[in-house]
Amino acid sequence: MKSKEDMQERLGLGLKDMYSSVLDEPLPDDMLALLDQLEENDNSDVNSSRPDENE
Amino acid sequence: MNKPQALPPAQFKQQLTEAIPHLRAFGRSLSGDRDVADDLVQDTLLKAWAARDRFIAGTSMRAWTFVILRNTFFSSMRRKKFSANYDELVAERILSAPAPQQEPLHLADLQRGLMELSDDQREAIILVGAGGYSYEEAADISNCAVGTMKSRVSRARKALEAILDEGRFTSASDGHDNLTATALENIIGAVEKIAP
Repeated sequence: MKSKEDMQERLGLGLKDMYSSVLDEPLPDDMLALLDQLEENDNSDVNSSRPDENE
Repeated sequence: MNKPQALPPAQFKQQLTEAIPHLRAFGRSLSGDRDVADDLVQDTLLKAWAARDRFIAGTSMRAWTFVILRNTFFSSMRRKKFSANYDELVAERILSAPAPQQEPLHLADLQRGLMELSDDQREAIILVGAGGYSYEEAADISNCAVGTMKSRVSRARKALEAILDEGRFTSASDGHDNLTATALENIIGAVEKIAP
């Protein structure tokens, strides 16, 4: 017979397992690419708004 | 008094990258669906980047982005009545090696059990019970009082224990494909709104 304590323990461990198993997965390439793209867009915005030094 | 400093872009990107695994875990626990969760994370990254001037250096990037993710998820649910679901692809995974006298706890059962909870309770037990946040941190993320968070976690634990113990599941998989498609449409719609 399952005791209340057993269930609580299994639930607690199960929740932590569920969450931490995702942390161990490799980062998806598309997310990293998205951040690279956002950074690149930022840099090009800054460069395009900077006055031409030769002028 | 000193004005709060924003992070330089490279540091902001670094901290945002470090938050991704936690955002995926939170999103997947909240939605119960891997693909929906990853779309939610992408949406969150876009919104966080667009709002990066409002992030204060020295505060928690993880907590800040969790707020963005949960607001996106719940507003999506409100707009199109999206119901969170669970991922049947992982139905056979067994969580936490049980003691010999215990039955194993399957991920699918846990996910289905979570989907039986109210949105508030599900979020509360994911943050505190799974993510290991303090009641104070979880209350900040969910924009509620600490006492309310404690109460939600307590009720969620009791409800989840009863559901898992008695196997009381509703037919959560009914219309799974349609709901997932709707959620994706919601997220894509939200991204299109903020994308240039």
